[in-house]
Amino acid sequence: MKTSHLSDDRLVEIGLTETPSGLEQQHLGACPPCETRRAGIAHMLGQLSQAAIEDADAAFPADLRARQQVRILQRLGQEGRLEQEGRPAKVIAFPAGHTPDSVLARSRPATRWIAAAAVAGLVVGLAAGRFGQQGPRGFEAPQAASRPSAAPFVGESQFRAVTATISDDELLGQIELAVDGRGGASLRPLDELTPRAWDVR
Amino acid sequence: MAGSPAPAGLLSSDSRLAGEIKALVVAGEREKARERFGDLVAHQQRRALRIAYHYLRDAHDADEAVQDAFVKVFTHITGYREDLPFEVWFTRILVNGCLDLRKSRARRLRWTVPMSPTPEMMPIDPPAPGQSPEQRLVSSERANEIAAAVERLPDRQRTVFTLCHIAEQSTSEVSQALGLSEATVRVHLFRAVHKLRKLLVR
Repeated sequence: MKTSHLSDDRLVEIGLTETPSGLEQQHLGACPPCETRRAGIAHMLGQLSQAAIEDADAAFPADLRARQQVRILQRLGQEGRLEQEGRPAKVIAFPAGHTPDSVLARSRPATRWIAAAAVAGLVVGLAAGRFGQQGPRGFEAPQAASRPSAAPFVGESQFRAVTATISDDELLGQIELAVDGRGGASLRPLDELTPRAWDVR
Repeated sequence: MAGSPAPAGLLSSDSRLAGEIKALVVAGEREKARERFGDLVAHQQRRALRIAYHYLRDAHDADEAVQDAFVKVFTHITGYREDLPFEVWFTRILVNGCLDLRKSRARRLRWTVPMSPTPEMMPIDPPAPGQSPEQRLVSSERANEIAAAVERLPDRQRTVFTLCHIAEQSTSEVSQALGLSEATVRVHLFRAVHKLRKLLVR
């Protein structure tokens, strides 16, 4: 007969997955303290499982389970129908090949205007970005050096920097175009209320 | 060894049913397959809900995880290997779904400010039949204590413990479901129980 007491670890092992060996079985039969410890571990394990199972079963009574079954089968039905209709997550290619030439021809000038407006917007955006980054101390373009400096226009030097590549008239025209757009007009009051980046610095 | 096929004669009735459903889908009889799948859902649903609820501790999330797992099983039924127990395959899909939900819930919680619960928001525990209010209080306190202790286990240990003790799977089935050796499953189980004992013994 096994004389030394069984360790807690061994008792847990026995409680979890294993049956005790013959010697252990004999020891447990003859040693009330070990048997009490084994019973305590078995009780704890049983309690753990029971509590968890009761908890889950209480959260999902029969009517909820029945509703869930119906819902699962409905979802499968929906997926099946979508699959039959060839709909699930398919990206349909734009039918460019079927567009009549006349439509394309008519749309081209409009596309050009959109492209031109986008370029103008980019130029204005770049100019504005430069004002924001450099502030009033930006560099001056050589041809603007002789200009009278009386006009207290903020960021004048940055405008001059841009004029190194396009004329003033062109630039002002582009700005007017951008500001006079429908979106620009509605945003003007807001624009007047908000400080410029260089004002904030 | 994890993932080794079971002899065909030892497969459960649900594994055979899953094989039938697969054959129906392959034969293009989807409607019939769906009907048969209803039986499979009925057999596996309770166990699935126990696992998911134990993992997620939220009835809504558990419901979602179980629904998604069943839908995924049906849509991928042609990938089911008939020589493996269906329960193992299904458990694997379910546990992965639960883990994904837990992760997404953790991400969500990082970005939300917790509200202090008002009395109307407190969950109401359904009363267990045949218990006095005092007994109910004690048992619900103990259940909460146990749930909190299990929640504190590391992920792997919790998974192994949940599958062995709540889903009532053998260590061999758990090893197949998780792709771990049986010895590793035993070690995790052993550690989990040790930790739970420390947390729960008063």
